[in-house]
Amino acid sequence: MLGAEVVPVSSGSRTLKDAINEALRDWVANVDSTHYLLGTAAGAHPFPALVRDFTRGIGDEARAQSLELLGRLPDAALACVGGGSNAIGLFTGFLADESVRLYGFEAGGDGVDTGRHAATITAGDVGVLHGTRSFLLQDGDGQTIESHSISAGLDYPGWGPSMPGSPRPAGRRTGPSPTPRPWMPWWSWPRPRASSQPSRARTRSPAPSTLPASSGRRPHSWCACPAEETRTW
Amino acid sequence: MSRAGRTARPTLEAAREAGRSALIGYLPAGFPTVDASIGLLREMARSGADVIEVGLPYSDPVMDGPTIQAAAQQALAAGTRTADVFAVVAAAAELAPTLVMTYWNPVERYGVDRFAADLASAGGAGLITPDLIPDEAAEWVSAADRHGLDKVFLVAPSSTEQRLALASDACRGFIYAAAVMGVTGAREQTSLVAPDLVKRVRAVTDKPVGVGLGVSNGRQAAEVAAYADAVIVGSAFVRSVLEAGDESAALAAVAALTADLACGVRAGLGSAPS
Repeated sequence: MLGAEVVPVSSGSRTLKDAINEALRDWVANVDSTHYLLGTAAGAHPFPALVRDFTRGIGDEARAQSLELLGRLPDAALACVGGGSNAIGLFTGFLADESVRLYGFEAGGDGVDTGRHAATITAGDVGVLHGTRSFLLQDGDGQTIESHSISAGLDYPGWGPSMPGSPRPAGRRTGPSPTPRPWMPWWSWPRPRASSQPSRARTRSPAPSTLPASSGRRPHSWCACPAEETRTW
Repeated sequence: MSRAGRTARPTLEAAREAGRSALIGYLPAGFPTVDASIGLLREMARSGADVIEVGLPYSDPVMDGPTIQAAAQQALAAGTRTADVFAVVAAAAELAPTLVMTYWNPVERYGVDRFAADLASAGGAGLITPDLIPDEAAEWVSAADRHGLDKVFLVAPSSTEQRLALASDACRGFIYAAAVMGVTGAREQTSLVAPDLVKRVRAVTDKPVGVGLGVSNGRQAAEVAAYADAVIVGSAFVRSVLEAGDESAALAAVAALTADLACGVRAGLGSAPS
């Protein structure tokens, strides 16, 4: 539409990971005339931070609309997490708001037990991919394991290093899924900490389904960022 | 006991004193199988490669073009594991100084110190690390120092003077100069920017400089040998194996290509185009 040439990727598993490999290969060959614009919050510094700053409009707008429509902040912000771009965009808008809980949902695929999923935080280990240290789906030799999701945007074996808190958030639970899948792994994010090292520390956080009770007297409200669209209710 | 000690620099300096450039030949471990890769690399060393570079096959080789990607995929599909790489190194290191070229994640996953220890025990010379920058390499640098291993970082035509100095300082063995901006793969013509890059590196260090990317025959090797201490050839070897019908044809192809390239690196010095 704007004159760009779209190049399909035929290497590897032909998912987002392989598209990033090809983009990096093309970029090093054409660095004088090309700018690298990865849509997800992964890759080498400073690109994850750039994506975070460019996508935080999601969170800033959701926050403003919540104040305008509800007269207060939501109780929770929920986002799906693949590479983490929309999640970091939504969460960044609420980072200063201690009362807003942050929940991320990963792609369960056919189920984490099947090996066919994109639940990086749930099933990954610390590793380096695309210039980023984060949790990765990898085998015992550090070879990347291909991710699986019906959502192209979630089909990535790592996740962005700019997410709030430590690379692995606290408080994993699995619960009822909002999708046709029987369940979906989810995490709640602690507030940012000084440490930038991967951490396995976990704290308990209420499950999303218990939020109405935990939010006390008032009706609860959530901001959810399922993909491109953010809804407040 | 560590068998390390067959580091690359003495071999490269001996070549320099003999008035020629050195040939560094690359093939991935486990390509097409672990045993076959041992045979091919030993053939390479016997046919005139001064230094051997063993690739650790990796799922996401972002510095590599389609040829080496295909070889890495084939090696992984054949079940090659990190531990196999040390067996390949041990076999090649009997004949020539042998470095491993690897992306960083497999090293981190194996354990950096454990990797360095096992590489040294196998008689390996050190590591070439294309996606590890010296600024982030503290753990590897200390492990390499502990085990007496070469540390080879990359510089590129786009590298600033500051980065050339930083990378050259951090290297032991030689400095890997990427001849072009791009990925590995044979090219029609040798790089026009590599001579200037090597000159810039020589302004900040007296360590040997190897030039890689794009060389596939003796004529091109001679052109690069005119200004570099070592000519690094990878994709052309991989292609010769991919195109060979069977194992004996692959051995013959690797021997012939090595001989052609070894002849080229001996013809190079003094014949630089003005």
